Amino acid sequence: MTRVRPSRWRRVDPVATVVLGLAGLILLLFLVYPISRIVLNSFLPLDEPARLANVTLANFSRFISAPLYRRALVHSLVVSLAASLLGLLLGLPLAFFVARVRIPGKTVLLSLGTLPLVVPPFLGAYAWILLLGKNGILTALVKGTLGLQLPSIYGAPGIILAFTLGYFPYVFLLTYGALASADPALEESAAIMGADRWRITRTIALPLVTPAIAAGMVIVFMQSLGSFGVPAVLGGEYYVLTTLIYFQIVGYFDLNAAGAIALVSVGFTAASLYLLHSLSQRRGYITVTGATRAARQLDGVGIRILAMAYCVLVLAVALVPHLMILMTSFAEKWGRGALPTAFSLGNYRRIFTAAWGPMKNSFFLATVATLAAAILGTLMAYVAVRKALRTRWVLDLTITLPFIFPGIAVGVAILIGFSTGPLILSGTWLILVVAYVVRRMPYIFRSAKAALTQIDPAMEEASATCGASWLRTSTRITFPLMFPSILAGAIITFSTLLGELSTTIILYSARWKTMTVAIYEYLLADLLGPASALGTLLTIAVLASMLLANKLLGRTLGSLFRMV
Amino acid sequence: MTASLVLEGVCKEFGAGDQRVAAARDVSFQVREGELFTLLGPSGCGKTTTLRLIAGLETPSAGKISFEGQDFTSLPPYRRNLGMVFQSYALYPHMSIFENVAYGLRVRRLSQEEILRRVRGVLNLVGLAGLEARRPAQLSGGQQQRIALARALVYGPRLLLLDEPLSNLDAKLRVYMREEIRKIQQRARITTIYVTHDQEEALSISDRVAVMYAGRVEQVGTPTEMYEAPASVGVADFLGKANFLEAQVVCRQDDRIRVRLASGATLDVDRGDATWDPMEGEPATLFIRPERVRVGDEPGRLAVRLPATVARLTFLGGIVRYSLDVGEERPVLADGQRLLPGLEPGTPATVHFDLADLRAYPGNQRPWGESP
Repeated sequence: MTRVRPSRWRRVDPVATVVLGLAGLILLLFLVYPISRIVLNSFLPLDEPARLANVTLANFSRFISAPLYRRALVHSLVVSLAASLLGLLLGLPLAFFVARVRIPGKTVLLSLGTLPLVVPPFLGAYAWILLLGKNGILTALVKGTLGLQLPSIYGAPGIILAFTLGYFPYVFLLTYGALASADPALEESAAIMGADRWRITRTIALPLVTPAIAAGMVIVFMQSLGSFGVPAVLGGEYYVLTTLIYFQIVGYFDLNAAGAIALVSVGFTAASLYLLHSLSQRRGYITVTGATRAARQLDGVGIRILAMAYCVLVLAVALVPHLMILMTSFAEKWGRGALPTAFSLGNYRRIFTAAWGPMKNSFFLATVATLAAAILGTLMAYVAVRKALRTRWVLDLTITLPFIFPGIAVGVAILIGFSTGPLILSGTWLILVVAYVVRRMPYIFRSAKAALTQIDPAMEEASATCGASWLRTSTRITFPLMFPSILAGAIITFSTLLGELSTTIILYSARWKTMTVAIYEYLLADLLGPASALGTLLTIAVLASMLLANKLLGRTLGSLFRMV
Repeated sequence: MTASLVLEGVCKEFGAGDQRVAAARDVSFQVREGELFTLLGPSGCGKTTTLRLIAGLETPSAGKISFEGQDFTSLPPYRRNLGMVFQSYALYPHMSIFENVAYGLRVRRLSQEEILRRVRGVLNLVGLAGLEARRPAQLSGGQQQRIALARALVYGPRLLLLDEPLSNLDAKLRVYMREEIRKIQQRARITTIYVTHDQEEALSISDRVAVMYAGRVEQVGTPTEMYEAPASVGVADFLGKANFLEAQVVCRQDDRIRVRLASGATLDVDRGDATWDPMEGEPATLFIRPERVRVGDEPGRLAVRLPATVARLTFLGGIVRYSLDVGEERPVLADGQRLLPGLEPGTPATVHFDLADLRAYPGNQRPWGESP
């Protein structure tokens, strides 16, 4: 028998090779290279060239020898664990009530429950100072009425409070999703077999949503571990890993030490993700569903009142700091009391002259980075799904690597990679864009990948049999079909980048200051009014883009977040 | 045989105000002890709602459900001692096969030895011993289906409910599994309610069938009764291939009625709908199954003969379906067992059948899904 050689042109479309190859090079240069550099440099002493003789563990051994390091590590773990436990306590009942009890206004409750994720958490942290600080409203109230002195908001209590209220929606939304989408037949069959309400909850309902709860808690833990803004605002002398990194860079210019600290925190995020992965692996979940029905709603009067009261209370506490910011942004004069005595638009006038630059920068950087991340993420997703590469898992792993890198660690890696060596970018806008793209591309990659797996390859094959080239097929068929998912991912990216501080704080320069940096500086200088006004504008911008996504895609705020 | 499950005037409405939808209207029937009773109907006919009412997963808006003399109407499902197989199987993904099957036994606080013994026994019954340690996701669809059945039977329920248990399986497996279910049901001698939209499935395994449409029970009877003597055009059409001919009532002839076809032929036929009181000149619809119609000069000619022309013939493997023009609005279908020589499209032929196989219905009845 004669063997037919596979036709070569089909496998190597020249346009595809160029476009996808270029994307691969960008990935190599801006993701693989800086991450390799941060790993390498963390084993080197400051200002020494990279030689085998110079390799040292000194940057890591400080976690044993230096009390400051040791304390920061312990602090980080304590506040992050506490936040994920408290997040569970707040989020789980909320999810259960919204998913399973007949209460009015569920869409509103879901949107309000997502709001804390939309607003940069360090703004909320600052609001707690206004409420519970030395001269805070609640501090004064408690002192005046009960004669009690509240404990200081600075340090662990304040950080835990801000993390919990800022991140509990992850537990809430993930658990809600699992509860709402579980096949009701699972619980019904248990009832048929004779199990009562309590037994069903214990043996069926709860175990089924455990992976979602665990995922929510791990995300709260990771976000808390990586947060810079909250401990920077509320920490004072209470150092955590992120503030220690910042201290090493701003205080000592010791990038290698900062890199080592960043890697330690990456280690913890990686470990918690691995834990989560093995948990959900062991369970091996599938759901065979025929018709999807909505879950049964509890409608006893008692449970409905309890559910409504709980939802209102939790959401009110979570949103109070943001209302506080809003009020402060209009405050003109503060008397002796805790509340302002006169209101005006003065703060807004001030920031439109003083902070016009940072506003423009934020929008410019977020737009460019979002576009770049969307294009690259989509192309990479295309390669990962449609090209039968044997090394596909390498691509997957590489792109999702930044998932385990806290924002500040990405900042350090990019700074190490591009402030010395062959390509110098520090001080330019490009370094911020590069860092933003590296951080956010995994999210777009994932949603584009999910969209592409849903698209039947026969659609592309049909286009090819009609005589269309790869370029035509992808621009006319594939990408338009993926577009809604890419857009959703892009809008989430855009709005999170507007509120980005952890990466920016490491990489910004005087010329390329962003809104969040400006807010942070105002807060350090105790300029509450302008900080709040800028914070309010930021929140509005973020909300507006989310609502736009909602309008364009017909999805709710909550479902946008559940996707990423 | 005594009636074990009794439904009397059961209604179920969903929603409120303008959005109110009646899923079950005045549903009444009696199920006898140990029989396999099937609720059959097109999707949305209320069969699953009726099953869920029997299970206690829904509460009736009106009416009464009782089982072995006990009032079931507002008893919670976990106190009814039922077994149920769901369309999606509802196997617990977080439990092993053993724990899935043992669930109802654990609820009943049986000893560990007893649980082991019973699980082993029921897994042998469904032919899946040895899979105890697996997870549901590691089983094939057919295996999952059998585990769901084992889980519903293991604690010896008084009544077994099956909600479209075979709809997620492929065609061959479906036929095999329905026979398995029938065997297991007969071995366990358990009263069973079976819900399906597949008429062949219903006819092949049931002791009796209730055909439902638009929330109502249209007819209850044994599979043969239902197939041979359907109570309405809708039931006749739903249960299998049917010929319908337009006719006009001439007069009543004792129990029968005399009708005239468009071609002028008059026939004395039985009424299919016993409640129908036909009047002279009223339109009527005649029904006969294609396999009861003969074509050509085969041996054993039947009583009624009509001249016809062959319009089309379709080879269906086991049968040959002739479409014959007899001068009526619609052609008559006749199913034969083999191709007959000389009967090609365009050739004249004779159509013949027994009067006893013919039924008359009021002319305004239409097959479901066709507008009247």
